[in-house]
Amino acid sequence: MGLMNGLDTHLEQDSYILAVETSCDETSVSVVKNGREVLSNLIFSQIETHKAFGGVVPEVASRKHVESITLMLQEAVEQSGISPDKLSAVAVTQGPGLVGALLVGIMAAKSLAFALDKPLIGTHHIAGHIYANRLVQEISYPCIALVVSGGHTELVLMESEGKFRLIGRTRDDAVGEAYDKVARALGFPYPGGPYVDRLAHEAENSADLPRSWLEPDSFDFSFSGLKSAVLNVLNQTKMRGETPDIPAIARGFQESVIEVLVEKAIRAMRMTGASELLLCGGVAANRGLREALAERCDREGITLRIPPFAYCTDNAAMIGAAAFLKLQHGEFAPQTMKAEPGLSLEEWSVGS
Amino acid sequence: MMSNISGKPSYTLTFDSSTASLAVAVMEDGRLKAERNITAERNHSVHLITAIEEVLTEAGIAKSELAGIGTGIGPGSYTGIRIAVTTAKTLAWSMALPVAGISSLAALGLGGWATGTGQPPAAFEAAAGRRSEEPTAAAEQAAAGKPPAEWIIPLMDARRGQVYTALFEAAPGELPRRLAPDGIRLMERWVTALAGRLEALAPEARPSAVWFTGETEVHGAAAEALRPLLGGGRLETRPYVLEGVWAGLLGADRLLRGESDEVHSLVPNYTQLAEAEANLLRGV
Repeated sequence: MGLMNGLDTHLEQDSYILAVETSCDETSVSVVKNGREVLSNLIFSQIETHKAFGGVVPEVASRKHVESITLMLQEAVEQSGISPDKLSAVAVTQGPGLVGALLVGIMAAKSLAFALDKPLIGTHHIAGHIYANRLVQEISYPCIALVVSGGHTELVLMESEGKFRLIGRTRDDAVGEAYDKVARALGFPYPGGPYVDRLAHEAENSADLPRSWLEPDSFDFSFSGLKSAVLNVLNQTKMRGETPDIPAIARGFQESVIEVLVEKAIRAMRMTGASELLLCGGVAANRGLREALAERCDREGITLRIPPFAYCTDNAAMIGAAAFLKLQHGEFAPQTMKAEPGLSLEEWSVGS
Repeated sequence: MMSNISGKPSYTLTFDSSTASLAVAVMEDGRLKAERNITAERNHSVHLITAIEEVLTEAGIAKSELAGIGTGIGPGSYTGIRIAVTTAKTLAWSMALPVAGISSLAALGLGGWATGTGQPPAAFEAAAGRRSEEPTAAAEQAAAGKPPAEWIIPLMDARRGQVYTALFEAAPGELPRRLAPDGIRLMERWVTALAGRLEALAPEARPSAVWFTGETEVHGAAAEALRPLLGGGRLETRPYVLEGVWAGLLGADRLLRGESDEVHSLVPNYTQLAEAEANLLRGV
């Protein structure tokens, strides 16, 4: 220990973290070696179930997690080739997320840690999305992470490994949530984000919709006004007895969202002098956003990192990657750990 | 496999988190070794594993000595039953132990009735694990020319006039035998259905006592409608909060008889669809 600089605690032996993620509608279990190498990453998506409801139903999600959790544990362990007694720790998403859904993963992780006499690591879901990048390559600090998903829209500054500072967040809807709501208004089934993205690309015209910049120096986001503007355009067109130009509305909406996200992310990079920008979360799959951000970063000489899609959506490997920070620092959770639907990312920073 | 015929004691761990009480017990065959009942706060996910550690320590049993896991599968609080079932499944899978789900209502009914009739847990020690080979309460009572068994009706409030409930019968020293499945029912209609059952029995075949137990504060008064149908029989309404030993007895009972559930497919008994699922089916 302490071979590098005497400050950090570098593990001398290989570590194996079994990680569990059940914060929303994906049941996932993974075994991650040394915080970087994915030995197994089983994901059971409930999306087909929730499609029928037009969105994720928390009670249904929780029920589904219980049905599959031990089978997922078993398959993740088998695929990893690591016998359970070789595990270094059991990690689980502690929050944010749906409390009933989180609790299934938490009780499974607690029980496994107890049965195997292994330490327990409570893990922050957003830290997971950010550290999904480390499953692909090392992260250079300081860096800015733009986290965009169905439940989150955040700009996070990391001065060093495992230290999170939230510099911007949505004040109302998350990006993915806004996409799904607008898609529904435009007549697309849940989850509608991909439909809007595709339609925006095919559209010839673009509806003129507002951009929500908030205060001049703010890195926060707001998408509810934009969503209302979309609904207004739809209603006014219908009241005039005209057929709304759905592709143009999709494109106008997407352009507004992307312009604000890209502009604020670039401004955050400039202000902090960060060395790279990480795009994370399920909405990182949005083609319009990827292209616009890549083009702009290229122009600005900014290094942009986007993990492969499989690590962008909710998965347990990313939880294992983030939990590795806590393992290195010996920061374990007691068996009395609570599910924290509003867990603070900053407070989850290592050494705090 | 788990029979105590071998002479070796079988240690089982059973817990239930379906109600406001977190109940945990470790049993040696049909005998209580240690229990925890936590009613201070309804946050069972926080205390379950530490309560398990505590009962094992108090019993002087290493977790590797356990022969099986029992768990209340509900009905009750949705979140609560998921906590116990997830814990039981994961413990059973990771420790390669059999897991046996028990009805939380059966445990509540047994505990309320036994406490009400002054029967200590030790009175059921011999019954745990052997029940299936013995004649039923009713048959035994009838053969002996004794009064019929008693009825046990556990109640958990399920809001909007509804209860999670079931119907059992038992004679002293006997683990209850089920007469009606666990379900969510309107209390008013449930009492009417019970009255119908009583009326269908000849007066001498009616139960010597009918026990409503559990969350009787809200629904106990409705039970009064049964009193005229009981003749000389007693109607008892007894509030009761679940204690670990009764869940422990039922868990041990199933496990000692070699019964268990498939670990991966064990799920809570919610007794009803999630509201969104029900609305979808109704086309709402």
